[in-house]
Amino acid sequence: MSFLISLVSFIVALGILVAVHEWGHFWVARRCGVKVERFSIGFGKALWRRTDKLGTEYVIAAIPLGGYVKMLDERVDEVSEQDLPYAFNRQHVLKRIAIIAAGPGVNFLFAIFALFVMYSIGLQTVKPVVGNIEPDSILSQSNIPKNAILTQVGDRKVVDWEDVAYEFMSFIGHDEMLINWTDERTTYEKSATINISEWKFDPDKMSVFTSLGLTPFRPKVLGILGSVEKGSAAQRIGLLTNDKIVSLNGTSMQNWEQIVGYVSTRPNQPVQVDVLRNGQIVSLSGTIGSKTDEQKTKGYMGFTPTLEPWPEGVVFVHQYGFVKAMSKAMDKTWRLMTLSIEMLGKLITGDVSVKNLSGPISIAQGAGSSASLGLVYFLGFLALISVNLGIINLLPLPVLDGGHLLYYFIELFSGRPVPESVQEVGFKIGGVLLLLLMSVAIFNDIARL
Amino acid sequence: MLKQRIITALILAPLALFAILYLPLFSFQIMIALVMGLGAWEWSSMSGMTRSYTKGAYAALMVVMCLALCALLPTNLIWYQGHLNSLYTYILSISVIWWIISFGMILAYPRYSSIWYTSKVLRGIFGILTLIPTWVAIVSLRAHEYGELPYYGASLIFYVLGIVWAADIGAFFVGVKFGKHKLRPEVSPGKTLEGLMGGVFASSAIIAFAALHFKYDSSLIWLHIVVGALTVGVSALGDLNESMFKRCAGIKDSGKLLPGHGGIMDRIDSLTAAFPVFAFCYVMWMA
Repeated sequence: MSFLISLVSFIVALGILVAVHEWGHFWVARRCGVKVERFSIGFGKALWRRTDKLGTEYVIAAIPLGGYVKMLDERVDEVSEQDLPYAFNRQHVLKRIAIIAAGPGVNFLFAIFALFVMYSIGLQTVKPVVGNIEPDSILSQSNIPKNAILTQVGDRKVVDWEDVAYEFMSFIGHDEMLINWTDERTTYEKSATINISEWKFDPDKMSVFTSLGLTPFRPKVLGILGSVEKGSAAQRIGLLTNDKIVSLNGTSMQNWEQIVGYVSTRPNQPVQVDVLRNGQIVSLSGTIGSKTDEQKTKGYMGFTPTLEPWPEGVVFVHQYGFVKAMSKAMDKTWRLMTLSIEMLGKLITGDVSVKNLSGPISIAQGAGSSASLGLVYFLGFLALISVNLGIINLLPLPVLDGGHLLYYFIELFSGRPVPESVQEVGFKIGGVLLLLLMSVAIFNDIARL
Repeated sequence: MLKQRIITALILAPLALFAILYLPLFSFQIMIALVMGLGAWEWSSMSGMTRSYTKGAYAALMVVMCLALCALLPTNLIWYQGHLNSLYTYILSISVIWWIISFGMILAYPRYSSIWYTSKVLRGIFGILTLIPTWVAIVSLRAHEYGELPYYGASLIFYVLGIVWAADIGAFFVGVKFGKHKLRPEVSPGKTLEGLMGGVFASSAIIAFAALHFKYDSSLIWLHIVVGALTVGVSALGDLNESMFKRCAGIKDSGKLLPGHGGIMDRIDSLTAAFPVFAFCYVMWMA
């Protein structure tokens, strides 16, 4: 089921983003007086098509991994004499630059729009309240106390954990990082500069927070069952919501961690559970279930605990009026753009390993998990991927929009088109680079599954 | 034509294979020097030299320069304590600069070509800048780790040959089988977009295979990919460079030494760019 959600959300997300990107090329091409022969979302066999009165064919095709706008062009096919003024390659180089740049440009505009809608609807998030800082970790050099609220990382304000994660990541490869916070009682900010030259972060193994020794605040777990999964071992044993587990096989249970530890090390073993139900001890017995992930079989019951309620004000909703939502959306889009570029830079300098490249499978999983959280989260995800798509397309690699732009900028200065033989050299370098990076990304995706 | 081409390849390939794998380093140096001499003979016609004794002198000069390098530096000192000899490193660096200039010349052609177009001396120097670094690059790669792992250097040479030839072979077969969209029908009618993609794909496959074979650390993968892609691109540049000089001299094939293939230079033009640039990157960042 989650696979299906991922797949559908992925196709929807990609369809929207490709349509938006290609529409950018299409719209500007029309404005510049270029004849557009076909506007296709997806590759391969056409599933649906219609033609408008200007002779443009709109197509939805079978392979949803991209799309294209086919413009009249002498380099691709024969163009009749009277159509020559409408051919792409006959346009002034500035017009060609505008048409090519419009694709990535619209991706950025779309990100602003998606975030604007997200901030208008409102998005529930959690304030960055510190739960715990591991002793002997990177952050333990600072004296950030428990329950402190992080307010600034580097020179940027942070209001929720997502912001904090982004800003932490932008410091990968740096030696020092500045953090500001306020503590529970006082409202004025304190700050600390933290030496992060020893910081090692592998996103496959841990979150950016754990790698620094930081645990976000979470309400206390109570030893009372919050829910019991249907058809799970817990249900077969006869456990009910609001039962408090007192002991397992006679070993008394003090807290939830102990219960989880006891259960997970005993897959498929018999168990006697004593619970406190309506003020009385009830003894139940049965077998612990099991669950396999990463080739390890662990005991699994299928119940979740109840949590203490969140303290006042920690969970809040990002929701703004028209103007504020717009400016927030623009800020955030700009930050996503700069972050994407910073991350690409770190990939080149080696501060971020190619192991961390993500391909379509990771994106599909991201699409699925954000979609299952609700529309607003999906919008945030779309904005992120849209910005990434725009930035990647602007890389000066022939094959991509950025490669064409590079040629046109050279043409702008040299006054004549880059020779096609040289374009071919570029195509080879760009093609090999892209093909191999895509392979690495897909390989990483599979290794992560 | 194709048959003759394949027969020539079938005779030469085992010879090359044997030389790269089994020839002692010193004889290998001399053999490559002779190949460069043959290349120089052809380059002399492309530079507009017509009299056979000038051509012979030019070819001899090339061989003598290679042999002088041999005499100057014993084979066991080409790499010393993990570093390539600094003279060789300089030659490779000069070669990289030459290829950047050559790229500029190709971009600008035919503009500014009058500067070098009429000068036989200048075109002769370009030949030296093209062929000597190729010899240095091939010898340096072959000699790396020669003491401990006598075949390691050979695998580096095969890697570069693989990247370059996979591009040609992939382009040829995919082009013949699936070629539909002509790239530049008036200049090179055989080239198609599909062929170009086939070449890109084949080279990528070789680079990926090499990444597995050399067991790179994940931090080096990125570098490996970039250098691989650069080698593919630069080999195409070597091709264009030779075509430009041939066009200036008004000839189609560089020579007739290899039946079915044209001349030696037609075969090694891509390599004259790929080897020095790859060797430079290898020496600087990967060795």
